[in-house]
Amino acid sequence: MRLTLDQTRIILHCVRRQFGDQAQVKLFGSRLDDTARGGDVDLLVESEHPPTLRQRALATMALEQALNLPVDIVATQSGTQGSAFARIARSKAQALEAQA
Amino acid sequence: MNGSSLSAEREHLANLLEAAQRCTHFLYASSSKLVWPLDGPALKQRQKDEALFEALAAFNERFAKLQDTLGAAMRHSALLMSETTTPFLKVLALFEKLGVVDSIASWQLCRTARNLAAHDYETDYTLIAEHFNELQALQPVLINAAARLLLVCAQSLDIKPATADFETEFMHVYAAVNG
Repeated sequence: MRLTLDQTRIILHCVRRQFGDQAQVKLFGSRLDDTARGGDVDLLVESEHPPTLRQRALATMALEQALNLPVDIVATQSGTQGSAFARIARSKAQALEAQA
Repeated sequence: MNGSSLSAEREHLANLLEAAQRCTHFLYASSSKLVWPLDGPALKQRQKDEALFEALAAFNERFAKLQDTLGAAMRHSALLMSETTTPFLKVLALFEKLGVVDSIASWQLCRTARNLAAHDYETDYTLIAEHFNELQALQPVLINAAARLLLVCAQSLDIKPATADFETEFMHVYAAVNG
């Protein structure tokens, strides 16, 4: 996983500030590949309540400013399947909690 | 900047201000064709309604166009005020200080919201509805910024829109949004 401990903490803080303390945050995409370089920070957020576009926008803004990296957030409600893309992301995602 | 180029720069800003009034008029016209708030099941039911989806596409395009036009006008105003014009964040900070934009965050929220939606269309009508409802909720942020920018340009630079062609329509929209 190509995220530092500080970056992971920032991600958890910013995401939970918008989506609530119970939000689960997972990383997927190229940042999971230790041999790759650069790339967006792709996050799957599973929140207690149905996520809104505004929450996603505010979290994206906060993270891009704090990390100085492009960030893409896919958000779903916990316990629901979500879109096909969310299911693909989930199948390859790694939880960030354990890292912080 | 010599006299001739200064005159061209001022004329360019006047054109941008007129464009902002025009964009505001057409954004509001598109918005007025729709019944707010939108909801996913109703959109799904009308998924082949060309007039509805043309109005939504126009609303989306005009929201972006107004924000881009205001951004260009703010940058050009900053240039004529002999202020820094790069990076754009400095321009935003200047116009936040002048009271034109509510906050840098609200301006960036408009940009991020419209960009997020551009990636997310798919065929989830609830998400599509949410996107447009969000832009509709943010519409006053841009329209009020346009009104305050016009005022600042008139007061600080003595520059007004190139023509008064959209003055009446702009004032009507401004009153409607703040009514």
